[in-house]
This record gives sequence, C-alpha cells and structure tokens, in this order.
Amino acid sequence: MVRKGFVLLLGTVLACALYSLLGNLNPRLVVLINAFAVLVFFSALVYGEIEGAVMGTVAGLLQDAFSHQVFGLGGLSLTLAGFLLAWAAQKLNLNNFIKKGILIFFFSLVQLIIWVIFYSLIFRKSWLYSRFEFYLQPIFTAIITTSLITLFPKLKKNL
Amino acid sequence: MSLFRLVRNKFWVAGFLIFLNLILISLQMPSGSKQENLLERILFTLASPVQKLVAATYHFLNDEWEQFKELRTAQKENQELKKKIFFLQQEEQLLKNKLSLALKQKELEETLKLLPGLIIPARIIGFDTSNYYRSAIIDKGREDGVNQNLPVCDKFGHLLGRTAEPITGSQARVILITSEDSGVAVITTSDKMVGILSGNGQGECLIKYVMASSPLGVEGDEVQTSGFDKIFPPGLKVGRIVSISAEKGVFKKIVVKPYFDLRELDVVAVLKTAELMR
Repeated sequence: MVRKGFVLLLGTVLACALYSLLGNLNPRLVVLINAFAVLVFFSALVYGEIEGAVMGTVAGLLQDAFSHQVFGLGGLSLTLAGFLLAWAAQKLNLNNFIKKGILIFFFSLVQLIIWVIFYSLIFRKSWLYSRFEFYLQPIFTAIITTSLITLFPKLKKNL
Repeated sequence: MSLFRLVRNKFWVAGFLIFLNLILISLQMPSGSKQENLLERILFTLASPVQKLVAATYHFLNDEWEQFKELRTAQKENQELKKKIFFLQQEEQLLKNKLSLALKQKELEETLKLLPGLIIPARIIGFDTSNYYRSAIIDKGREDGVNQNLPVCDKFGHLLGRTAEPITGSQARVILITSEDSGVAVITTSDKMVGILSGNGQGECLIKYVMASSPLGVEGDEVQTSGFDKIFPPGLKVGRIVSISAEKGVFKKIVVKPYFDLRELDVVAVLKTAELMR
C-alpha cells in the first residue's frame, strides 16, 4: 500500500517534471505528449479501477491548473477514461504490446472526445478549434504508456 | 453500507470523483468564464517547485553546453551584454512610446528615472496544456511585484500578453495575445485605425469590430497598443497585418501576425504599468 502510494506520488512528480521539460524543449510538445494522461493510464493498467479513477482526478486537475480553460474538465475526462480503461482491461486478455497499445489508444481517444464535447458545449466553439497536435495525443499516449508498462516489471525488480 | 465498504467499492469511488469534477465545472457556469479556484491555486503552487527545478536544470544544462561550445570568457561577457541589451531594449521601446506621444522633456526625464524599477525580468517555465497559444506560466509572482493585468513583453519589447490569475508568491499565468480570451486596444501606425485585438488560438490575432465599409486598414501595416484599455501602455509593438478581407457580416476580418515567436521565448519582461500609464 505504502509502496503503491510512493509509486503514484513519484509518478505525479515525474509527470509534472516531464510537462515542464517538454515546454522548455518546444511548446508544441506539451500538447502533443500529455504526460498526465500517460500517468493515469499507467496507474489504471498497473493497479486497477480505483487507482485509475483517483489518479485521473489528481492528474486531470493538475493538468487543468496549467491551462487557462475550465478547471475540472481534464479531471472529469481523465477520471472517466482511467476508470473505464482499468475496468475494460480486466475483462479483456491483454497479453501483448499491440493489444495494450490499441486499448490505451482507444481510451485516450475516448478521453479526448469527452474533453472536446464538454469544451465545445461550454464555450460553444468548433470541435476542431484546438491545435492539430492535440488530436495526435492518443497515438503518443498509447506508445509511451505501453512502453512504460512493458518496462515497469523490470523497473519494479530494481526498486 | 459502512463508509469503509463504500470506499472499497470501485463504482462508488469513481462516481464520487466524477461528481466532484462536475461540481468544479458547474462552479464556472453558466458563462464558461475562468474564475479563481482555491483548489486550482493549491495545485498550481504545489507544482511550482518541480517546474522551477526542471526549468532551472534545463537552462543550466543548456547554458553549460553553450559555454562548452564557445570560449568561456567570451560567453560570460556575452551573457552580461545580453542582460544589458534586454533592459536597454525595453527602455528604448518605452522611451520611443513616450516620445511618439510628444511628451515634454521633463516628463521624459522623470520616466527615465523610474524605468529600472518598472521592469520585472521573468522566465517562461510552462505552457498551456490544451493549447500553447493560449497561456504560459512565468517564474515570478506576487513576491516579485507581479499583479493581475500587467503587460508582458518578449526580450525585444514586443507584446506577449498580460498576467492573470492564478498568481502565487513565485509564479503567475500569462494570457497570451494569441488566446481567444485576450483583448488589447490597438492602433495601426500608418492610418491610425483603432480596434480590439484578440487571438484566434492558432498563433494569429484578429482586429475586431472594424466595419466592412471602413476604408481603413492596410496590409503590412504595423499594429501597436493604443493604451485605450488602460491595461497596456500605448506604443507597444504587437505585430503586422497580414490579410484583410470583408466577410459576409458587417465587420472586416483583419488578421495580424504577432511579432513574438513562441520557440524563442525564454526571458520575458513584466511591466509595472500603473507608473507607465501616468
């Protein structure tokens, strides 16, 4: 339990650090790679539904704090996506990299759709309003999260 | 059902968290306006040390690499000169603005004396997670004298945006002029066309509310702040008009390309405008 809490806290700090590093390297990378979504999907697949939902709220609200839009939008979409990903993962047989990648891609897309729907409802703006990099997020989230999950057992042994 | 069992039930936990997020969203309804939120401020503050550490480490390593590539002494002199140039450019820009308004010599001299204390140098440490043309985060806050609605310029004195909440002790948000939430009173240099400049969220700005029947507006003309909004001092360079077209409606569509370059943003200047507007 303590170890899990430590890993999740460390993950939050690392997501924050990654977000900041990407912004310094190139502002486009901040939108292209969603460090907070990676953290949520990683937690959901490694630990389960409750952890996925809790990290969805924590990381989502953190993401919202760095953005000048409705506070809670990222929290809501990541909570739903994190919980649903973990729930679906337990029903399916995810024994290889590709299957995990596809599932994460799908739920990352779901998260993005929830975000865009709420955003366009609140601000009454076009669905295609945001930067194009924003819509490439699911691909990068899927690749990075799947790679991390594959590497995690090896890292865990060394922890 | 006991509280312990409720907490153990995954659907209850997820439901509670979704409800919590919906409450947070509904607090900002019905206008969708961005309002001050305590939880947001707390998270913003908590993340500050991590962001600053990463930004400082990144810039340290970057600077070290630069120094490795060039001669050490020349590099140091260059750094000092860059700092001086930064302040001189800001001062020059502000002086030009004052001169253009044909102020008396005495007033100019008084302004000149005030200038060193009116510029707060800051560093960009983060960008908006949903659209990098919307907002940025700087490493200076209330402790450094940063308040709401202070103009922010890049190192060449070009307008970047204004400070906005949340502003913590050591960090603040900057709403960029390319954000759709921004509004700047502007004037063109050649034909003195006035308007409200707002961002389109795609890296460009639009001058709004210029009638389609108006003869004013020239492509390639420079756009500066007019000072009519009482937030931005007059004469700050904003950008250049890249296209003018008459839409179906009653207003013209005037597209302005801002001067600042997001990739070149590193050190920025926060201007304490209350004194400058006098």
